[in-house]
Amino acid sequence: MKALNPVLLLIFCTTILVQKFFPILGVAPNRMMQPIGLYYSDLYEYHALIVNVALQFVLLLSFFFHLNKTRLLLILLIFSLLLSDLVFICADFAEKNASTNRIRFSLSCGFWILVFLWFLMVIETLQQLTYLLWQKISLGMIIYLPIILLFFSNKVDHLSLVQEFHANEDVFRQAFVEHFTIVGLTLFFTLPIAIALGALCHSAHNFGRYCMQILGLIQTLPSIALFGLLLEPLSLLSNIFPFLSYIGIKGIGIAPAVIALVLYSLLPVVRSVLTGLNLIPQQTIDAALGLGMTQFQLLFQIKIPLALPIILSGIRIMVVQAIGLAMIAALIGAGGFGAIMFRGLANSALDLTLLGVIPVIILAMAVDMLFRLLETASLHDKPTIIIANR
Amino acid sequence: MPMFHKSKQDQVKWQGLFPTFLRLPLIYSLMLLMAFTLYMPSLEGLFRTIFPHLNRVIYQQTSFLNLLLSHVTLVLSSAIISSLIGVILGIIVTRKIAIKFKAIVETVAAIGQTFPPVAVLAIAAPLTGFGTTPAIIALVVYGLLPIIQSTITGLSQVPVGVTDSAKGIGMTGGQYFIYVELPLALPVILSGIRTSTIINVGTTAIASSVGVSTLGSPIFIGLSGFNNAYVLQGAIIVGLLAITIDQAFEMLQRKVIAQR
Amino acid sequence: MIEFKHVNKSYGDQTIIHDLSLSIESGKITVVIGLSGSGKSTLLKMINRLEPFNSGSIFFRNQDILTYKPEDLRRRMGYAIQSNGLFPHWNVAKNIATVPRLLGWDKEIIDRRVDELLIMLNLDPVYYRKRMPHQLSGGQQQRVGVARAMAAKPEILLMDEPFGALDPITRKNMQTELRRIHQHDGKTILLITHDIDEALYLADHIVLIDKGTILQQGSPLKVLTEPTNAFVREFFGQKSRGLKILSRLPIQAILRPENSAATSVTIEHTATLADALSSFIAERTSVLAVSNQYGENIGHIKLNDIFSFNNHSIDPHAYVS
Repeated sequence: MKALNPVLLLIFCTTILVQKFFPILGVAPNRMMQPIGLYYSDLYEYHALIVNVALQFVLLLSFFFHLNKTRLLLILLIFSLLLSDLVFICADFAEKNASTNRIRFSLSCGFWILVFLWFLMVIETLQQLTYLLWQKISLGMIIYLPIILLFFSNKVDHLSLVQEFHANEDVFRQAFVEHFTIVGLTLFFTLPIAIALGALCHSAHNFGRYCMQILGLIQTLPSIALFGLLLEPLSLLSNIFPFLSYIGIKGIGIAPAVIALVLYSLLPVVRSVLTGLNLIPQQTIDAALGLGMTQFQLLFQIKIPLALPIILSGIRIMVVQAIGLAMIAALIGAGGFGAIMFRGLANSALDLTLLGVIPVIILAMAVDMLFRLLETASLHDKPTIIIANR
Repeated sequence: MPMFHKSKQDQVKWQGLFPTFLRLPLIYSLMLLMAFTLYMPSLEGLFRTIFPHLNRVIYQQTSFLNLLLSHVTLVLSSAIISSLIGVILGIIVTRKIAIKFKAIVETVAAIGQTFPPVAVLAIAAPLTGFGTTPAIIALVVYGLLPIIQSTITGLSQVPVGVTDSAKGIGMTGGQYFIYVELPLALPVILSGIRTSTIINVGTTAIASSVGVSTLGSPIFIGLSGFNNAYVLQGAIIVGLLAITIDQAFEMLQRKVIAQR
Repeated sequence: MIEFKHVNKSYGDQTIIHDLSLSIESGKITVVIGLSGSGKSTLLKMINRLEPFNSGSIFFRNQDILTYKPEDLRRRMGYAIQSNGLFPHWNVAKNIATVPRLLGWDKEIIDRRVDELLIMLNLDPVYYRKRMPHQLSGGQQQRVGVARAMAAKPEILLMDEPFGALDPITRKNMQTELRRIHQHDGKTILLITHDIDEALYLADHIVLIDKGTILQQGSPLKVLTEPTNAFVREFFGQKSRGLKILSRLPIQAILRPENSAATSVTIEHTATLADALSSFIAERTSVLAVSNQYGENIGHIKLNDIFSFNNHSIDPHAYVS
């Protein structure tokens, strides 16, 4: 009996192994001591476990059969149930066994691995279900809705991660604002410069070559090196012109971060503008000019709409990259989620580290999906420009 | 297929003026790199003038050479491991038997690259302790992704005409793979390895924050001690290292393309 | 309407157009024909200033084209190209409406014009208005391209190998369409092609160009019957020249109005002598009945008449169709 869904089958078998061998919840009497791992079976009461196992067995069987849309939707439903159930059980266990003293319930690696693997299976199922991106995203959000609701309720309050969050809520909020500001400022400065540069490189080939070479050179520099190189010149500058320091351009902080980020962000956007403009067939431009469009009309009515999907993909890459690089900017005093992460690293507090990392990951993925949606929308039914879909 | 006759004619004109290897930017970046690495302490006077307020101006805790070697070792070892795993995985996933896995592997590689590399490092550290281990794990895992992506892309892009003519000649699957698919895919795969390695240089520098001795150490120590001179020194050398490695790959890629 | 006066164009040390003087008359179809690289496309592009030239002048309606603003000049000329250059992100209606929109016409007038053009080109407006270019076949795309070129009622239609990318049957249909449109509108058309049969079929005035200079120009019959040099003669095909000449002559030239009982095979009154000759041979007959567009018999033709027609001192220009 050949498995019709080897991918799902393989991932599923891995999840079974994880359930058996990796701890889901870690219990520690206090902050200092190492947590004891609780496994999947330890968390569930007897009858609940039977139901859970039965569901999983059904899932397993289904992978051997042909899956039409209804069955795929059912499978997605089961995934949603299993996932939310897992979170609920952990939260519930923590709640039931919490006492007044400092017992810590932390989500262990098993939990995260399971979440990741189920996430993969959801993606694979969605892939088989539909081609349309917006459908995939909407269904995905529906699946994860129960978990999100759980996290916003009070049920999860006894998990160490959430406790850490509540303890540092204002820091968290500030980090969010800082991170957002860094990325926002970067976007604000990069876009006009990059688009202008890209258009320039397109019309002047020699300039284009040198420009791309220089930008490529900047891109190879490690981010921390670029930050480091900017520190001294900027602080010198702000010493010479004190008003710069007044408006916030100092040796450390947001200024060097944004400047470095803008320099890094130029390449993906300029390259995408260049590619997008180059892909427009010369005959289309000839026809437009021959019919009597001015250069201005040509640019705005023809060139930009036709190049838009590719330009958007370049901006997408740039913003996701900027979100990641902004984490490193925390090292030079720019704040953001990187600051939380590095503090967690320094104090060996995994929860704090996760608190810094998870929002960034979610942010990066959300922005990525948003831009992919925009790209699909801007495609205008144009078959000549194909963008690989997730 | 000799495709570059014309440029060779141009090169003949120039060869009289410069021996070939001297014309490559690789030589210059390599020289700059080694110069700064070995002779940084001799620049003390220069740094004193730029940073008159600092007590200690040259990073002395470890020699820059040691830092460079440690950094390069990490980058190279992780690059080799992730290249091997990545390419093999990419090859497996583009074969007929495992073709169903291609989509999900591509998706994971794409999603994974939206994560900042620091994040992987930060998560690995508490799990495996501090030191070189989490660094290598993070470097390998994160470095895999672009390589897998480029291997899959490279192997999927064989033009249809080539496939048909190869089958027509009567090549076996294995021969087809070695003599047709792989050479055609090589430039793309190489560019993926290049991207991955360059990113690794940066991530390795950050690994200093988890206790690894790399070229990032002077930067971190400088940042926490408000010693911008240290930061500058570390930044210069690690920057030059990245440029040198990039130029080396550029040379390698040119050779590979020229041989087709 | 268009005058070239000693126009020269060179690119580097290559002369593309050499001392070219040409007059393009209003109301006629002028076809410029030549080999690839002869400069014929460049010639057309110089008219709407898509290509610059080094010396000489080009006049549009007695005014130097350099004195116009390029956009204004181009909006008065229709421009249709081989790959049609339809804008892929606009539907058919929006593509056709390009120049009217640039000129600021009212929306209702534009809509009416679009429908009018679609009907003229045998495309159902209701169905085709909303289609995107990639949903159309090559022939349909080319029609939309021609419609777009004609949308703003330009004074001259510039067509650069418009039917080159089409299959032979579609190409024939498009050529017939173009002739029909011309007869309906009387529009001045300048058409570039390398297809000899297309040129002979469409042209009122044919211009043979090679290496940037005009070798001969005149009516198709004149060029066929009185080639000025060997190249011209070779170009129009030594061996099939006779047939090509016949293809420019209508069967009216030898039509006998009485009906003949000797044959039952009919030929249409719009056929040329070349078609007649072909039918004579194919049907193994020496008499053909001629029918009009309603199918009624209006006379007959005889094979021998073609030969005696040729022997008489004919004036080919008398039968230019």
